[in-house]
Formats: sequence, C-alpha cells, structure tokens
Amino acid sequence: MIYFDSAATTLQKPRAVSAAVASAIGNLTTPGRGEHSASRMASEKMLALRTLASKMFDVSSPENVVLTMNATHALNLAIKSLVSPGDTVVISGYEHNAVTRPLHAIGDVTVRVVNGQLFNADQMAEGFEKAVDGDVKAVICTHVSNAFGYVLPIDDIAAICKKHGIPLIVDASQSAGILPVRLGAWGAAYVAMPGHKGLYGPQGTGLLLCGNGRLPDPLLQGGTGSLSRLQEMPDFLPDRMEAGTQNVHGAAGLLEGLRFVSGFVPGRIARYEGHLISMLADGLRRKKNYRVFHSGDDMSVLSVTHNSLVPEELSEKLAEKGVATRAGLHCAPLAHLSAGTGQTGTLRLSASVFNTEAEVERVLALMP
Amino acid sequence: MYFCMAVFFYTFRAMKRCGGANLCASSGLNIYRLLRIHSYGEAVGLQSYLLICRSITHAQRMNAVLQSAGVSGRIFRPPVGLTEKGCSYAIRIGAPYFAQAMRHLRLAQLLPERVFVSADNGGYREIVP
Repeated sequence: MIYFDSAATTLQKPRAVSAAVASAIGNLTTPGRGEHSASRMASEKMLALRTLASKMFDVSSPENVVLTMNATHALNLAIKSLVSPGDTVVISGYEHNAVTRPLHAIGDVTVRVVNGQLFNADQMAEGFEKAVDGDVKAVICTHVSNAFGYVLPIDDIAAICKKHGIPLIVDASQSAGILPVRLGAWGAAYVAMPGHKGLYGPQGTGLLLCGNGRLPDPLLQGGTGSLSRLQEMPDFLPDRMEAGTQNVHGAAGLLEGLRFVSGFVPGRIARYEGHLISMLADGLRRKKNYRVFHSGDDMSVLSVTHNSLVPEELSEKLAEKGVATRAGLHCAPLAHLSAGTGQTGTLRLSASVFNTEAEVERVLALMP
Repeated sequence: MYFCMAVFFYTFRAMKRCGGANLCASSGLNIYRLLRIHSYGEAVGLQSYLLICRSITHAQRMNAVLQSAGVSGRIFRPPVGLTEKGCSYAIRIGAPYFAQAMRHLRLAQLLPERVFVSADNGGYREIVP
C-alpha cells in the first residue's frame, strides 16, 4: 500500500515503537501503584515520556504533561476546563470537530469565528486582532488545518492572546512532530496533540500540555495511587487528569516515537514532507483537471478536487490501486465552509517521513 | 561476623554499581561510597528521614535531583496511616544526608510535602524542616 493518509494516523511507525509496546506488554504494570519492579519500571517509563515531551514542547515541568487517549480527549479536557455556558470564545475558521463539538455540547457559548481566505496568514492574524477583546474567555486555534495543511499564524495569535490576557488553547494535531510546538513561548494555557500522527506513537495516545499554574478539570474521577483517602481528585498534575490505569503500553511506544522525531535535525521533517506535497501539487496542477489547494513548501497535507469526479470516487479508485487517501469533510466542515468546498469536500493526501518521491510519482501516474 | 559478611556482600554489590571499580586501588573511597549507598539505614540501623511526595512523578523528580547531588534515596510507599490523606510515595534518606538533600531540593524547587524522621519507638514523627 502507498499510504498518504498520515493526517488521520501514521501507518508506518519506527521499529522501536512496536518493539517498545511489545516489551511493555508482559514487563510493565501500573505506575504509581505497586512496590514491585514492574510498577517501578512503568513509573520510570512514564516519567521519561513526560520529561522528553516537556523538553520538546517547551513545558515548564514534566508533571505538566498529561497522557490522554488522543488529541480529541486532550482538547475536551482543555476546552471544558476553560469554557462555561454563557462564555464567548474565538476560534479560527479552520477548526476540527474536536474543537467545535465540545463547544456545541457545553451549550450557550458565543463562538466568534475568524474567517479568512485560505493560506492568508496575515488576514487571519488581523481577524484575531479584531475578534479578541475583554469579553472573550478563551481562544482556541488549530496550528495546521487538517483539511488543507494551512499553517495558521500561531505566533501572532499567541501574542494577541498574551496582550489581552486571554488563555489560548492550541490544537497541535497536525503540527506536533513536524513544526515547532512551544507551549512556553506561546504562553498558551493548553496544547493538545495526538500521539499517533506526527509523533509516530501508537493509537490510543495523546498529550495535553498544561501551562504553568493551570489546573484543568478532570473528565474522569477515580484512583490515582495518591491521596487515596481524599474523595476529591488530587489538585496537582498529572494525577488529577489521569484517573485509572493509563495506557502504559502505548506510552512506551509514544516515548520511542518522540525519540524518533527528536532525532531529526529541526525542520528536516517539515522540509521533507513539504517537498513531497509540493511534488504532488505540481504534478496535479500539470494534469489540468484538478483544483489544487496548496501554498508554500511547509505543508504536509494537500487537498484537491477533480473537475468531474467527486472526492469519494477518486479515493475509491486510488484505494483499488493500493493508494490510501481520505475523502470528504475530514471532520472539519467549518474548514471546508471557509475554503469554499463545503458542498463536496476534498480528496486529501497527507505525507509522513516514510513516504518517498517514488511513491509520489506512482500516485501521480495513478491519479485519473 | 555478620557485620563483616554484610560489608563483604555490599562491597561486592557496590563494586558492580561503581562499574567494577578496583576496591584494592581505592578501598577507602569505595567503603565510604558503600556506607553512603546504605545511608538510609536499613542495613546498618541509622536514623532516616522520610520525604513525603505528593505523587510518584513528584517522587521520581525529587529522587533524580538527589541522585545528581550524590544523595542516595529510595522511593517507596510509606504506611498509609502516616498521613491522613492515604496513599503516597516517599523517599527515605539517611540522617547524615538530610541537610544536603533539602538544600538541593530547595534549589530545584522540588520540596517534599511533609518530612518525617524515624523515632526511637520504631515509628516516625513529623518535623518541619
């Protein structure tokens, strides 16, 4: 299979990831519970993960790195900690349902959507400048659009939030492991990311990075191995947010994924994936029967539409020939509305470090 | 005799920990290190301190600071009745190293939640460091 659906989840993982998961099963038990070596080793593995993540993503303390099931879980934790009914929030016009659905579920939330032309970062930043004021409770913004690969001006948006003292939640689902993600430099309240996309970890893992002094509200209450006589969840991280047995096997794999990604020269992954996506974009433009949504060389995601075939038909034809893509709205109807593809969606191709130029050429040959 | 056997056994284990250091070449230094390794008192009955941590992660971070400072400690679960809050983790360190440990933990801003010292009756009493 030629796999170009890494924006959904990366299929090819470094060998060390699966080896770590396999080793964890049968050797690691629950951290923070027993006195035996299997529990201690599990605790050490978790600390190693938190420590590496805190260094990679500019988090002040390993304890501020919370293990979640995925980015959606992390976003729900962050959003529901900051936003209550009656609040006003600002989001970009390119957010995923993992942001818009929790806001909808909270109810009675005024959502100011900063619409902007696709790939126009200056316009987006100006839009946030106008939308953010003292009435705003939180700003939630994706770093990279999962549908279009559009890199939003997070540095500018973070500066606007800092200026107004508004907490910022960043959805780093498509940027973690590819572009610099810096909780501390942004001054963000929370950053959410999946473990199973650009970090090459197993499914069932994600991270919620918490800003200094932030104490999110837990979604689950249960055992933490600490302060067990108290019936309130602990008032410190990460225990407060990690009731029950964590996915230690997954965490062991995610640690290897982080090690894999951090072994690259900074920017190398973004440049390589951007190069492959640019090759795809240029090749499809030459076919003349595609509308190609592409700008710049730092994109790992490409969306296209065909003059006569709907995206689902395109995706099916490619799947029959062994090419994995994704068609539709990509769980981001807001993004498609903003880009003008709300009626049909798009065909999305998304790269990983394991894709090659030869694969790009093969895909171009197979595209109708 | 038992003390000599203990010294022999723990010296051998210390040599392994020290990467096979030549005991004969630096016997004084290694015996000092041997006593430090067991400074938390279980082997030789010295007074010890319990640094109560809020969580396993807190305990691990504190222990990492202590190890970097050359203070050996052991993370373990203290009796659940020691504090009114139930399960916790603690680091046990030997009395001679308590002041050094606290100094390094203060510098790292990783202070224990509470501190207990072993009491004459075999239990622990809380102190304010």
